[in-house]
Amino acid sequence: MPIIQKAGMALFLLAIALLTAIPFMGQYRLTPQMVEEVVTDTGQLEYVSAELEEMLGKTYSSKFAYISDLDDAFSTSATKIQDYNQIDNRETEVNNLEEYMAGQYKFYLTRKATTGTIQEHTGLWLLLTIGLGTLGAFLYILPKLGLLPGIKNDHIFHSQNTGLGWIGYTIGTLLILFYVLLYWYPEYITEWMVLTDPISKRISGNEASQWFFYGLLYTLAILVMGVRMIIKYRHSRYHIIRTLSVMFFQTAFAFMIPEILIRLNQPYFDFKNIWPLNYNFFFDYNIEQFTSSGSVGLFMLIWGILLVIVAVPLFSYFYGKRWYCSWVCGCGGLAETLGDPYRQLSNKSLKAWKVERWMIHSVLVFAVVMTAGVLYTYFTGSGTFLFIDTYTLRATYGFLIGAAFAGVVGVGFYPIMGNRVWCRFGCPLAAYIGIVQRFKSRFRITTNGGQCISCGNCSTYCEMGIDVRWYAQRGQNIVRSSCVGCGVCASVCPRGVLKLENGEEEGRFGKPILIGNNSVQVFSDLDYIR
Amino acid sequence: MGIRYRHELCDRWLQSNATVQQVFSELKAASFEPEFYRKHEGEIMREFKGKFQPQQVKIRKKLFGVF
Repeated sequence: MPIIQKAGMALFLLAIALLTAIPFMGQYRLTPQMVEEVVTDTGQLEYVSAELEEMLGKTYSSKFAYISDLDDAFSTSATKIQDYNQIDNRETEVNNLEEYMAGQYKFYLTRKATTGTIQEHTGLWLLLTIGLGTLGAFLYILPKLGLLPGIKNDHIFHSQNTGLGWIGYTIGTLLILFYVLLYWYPEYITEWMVLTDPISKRISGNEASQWFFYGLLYTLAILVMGVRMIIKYRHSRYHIIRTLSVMFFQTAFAFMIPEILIRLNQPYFDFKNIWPLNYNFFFDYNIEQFTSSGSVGLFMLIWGILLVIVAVPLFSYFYGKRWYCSWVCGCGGLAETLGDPYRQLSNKSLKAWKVERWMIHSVLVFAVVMTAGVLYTYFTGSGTFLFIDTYTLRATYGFLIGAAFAGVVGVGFYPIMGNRVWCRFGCPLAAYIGIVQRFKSRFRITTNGGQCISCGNCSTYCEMGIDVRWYAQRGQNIVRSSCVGCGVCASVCPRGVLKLENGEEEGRFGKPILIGNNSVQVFSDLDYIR
Repeated sequence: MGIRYRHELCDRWLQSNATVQQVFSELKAASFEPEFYRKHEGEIMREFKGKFQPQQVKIRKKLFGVF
């Protein structure tokens, strides 16, 4: 490894270490104004501020001590409010302090109370973490331009990182930890939000939330690793254009446009996020926001519905699943860039394929039933649908699929089960587009005659776990609902046997046929297999 | 890497003793290059014409025929 790459890796690791240390470096000072700003319910405010009295003006240097005191104060006020509401001849009713609401209050009180060196020297810390990390990554990636073009996957299974070694498991564990904090314990990462405040204020004018910090990191990951992807596959125009496409859609559509919409007092909306992947599109608060934001909101609502019922079938008919999954989608974008080093870890067994089909279609059914329930409640006002409480249904979906599956497992398992765990086993939109791709599409991967030498590169690097070689060996077209059309199987083939094509539907599945020098045609009598 | 052609078409040309004219008229359809790659068929035909001054080569034209 050249010295410049070593230096780049060292800087990157230093930046990661600093970023990890930052949540432990904050101080917390609560003021009465903050409490008034956060607790908007005046009845509750009276109880809460009485309990928080002791914390006011005190500077905590330990986050754990601060949050523990906050927890105590809120559970005492919740009990006191409940006790008060039991009194028979009380003057007024005070709204009970529900657990969810208390959690929100505690989070914002931590967010606002965060001070210390991160707050005082935000710009410096931003440069030392995200800035330094990006610089280090580029120093590591760019020297690869000096190598000859062409894919090099040498020793990929010997690497401790990409071959299920200790580095891979460490990265996986850290990613899982990160997602757990992000989704369920955001009060422990308020310093990261403070860190990205200057950027957020420039774009949307607001203070950064955990989602802004996450979005920024996510976009940077796609951009930096996208550059790596382009360098690695720079002999192939297909990969260059496709990678530029995911980089563009993430930066513009997923990151910048929604923030700019907020600045313009419009609803936050990602124009390329399609239901059922965007599972809260039909939630009551979303529909209300769309219908109350004038023509822009109405446009968003119609746009979102048209994407589901027109764009998905139409584009998937002409180009297959790839128009979305490996050209536009944010989850796919991260998988194709950040996840590219791990693509060979997907399981190719028949059993995995069976599990995949059951799982992904179950998630699709779950998403449809959940959305139907939510809409039923929205239109009829009745809280139960098919004997199920729709609120519980949607909360369960959000927790199990939206957060645990898509985030924690989806990205956390990159170094363990490959980069498309979520897309392959869990994404309801992938299931929907997959059905279109399998039954009504012009897309297929064609096999060129009998030229396959059975090296197995195609199957190895298929991120969706498709045994491409099985098709190539018998000269059959590859038509599979899961194929995201990344095109890597065709690129890693040493003989150029595979080609991604959109053609006539007629004869799309193809018969197993091998063309040799004497045109010996080996027809399989197992035609039912297709 | 060299140019990729469809095995099936090449095989048919060989089996049917196809003439150069026939081969050239189908050359574009025989390309197996990945999408977005630069196509070389036009160049090949020009080169061939320049060198051998062959009989008129007719190329079937497709309407909006990109692929």
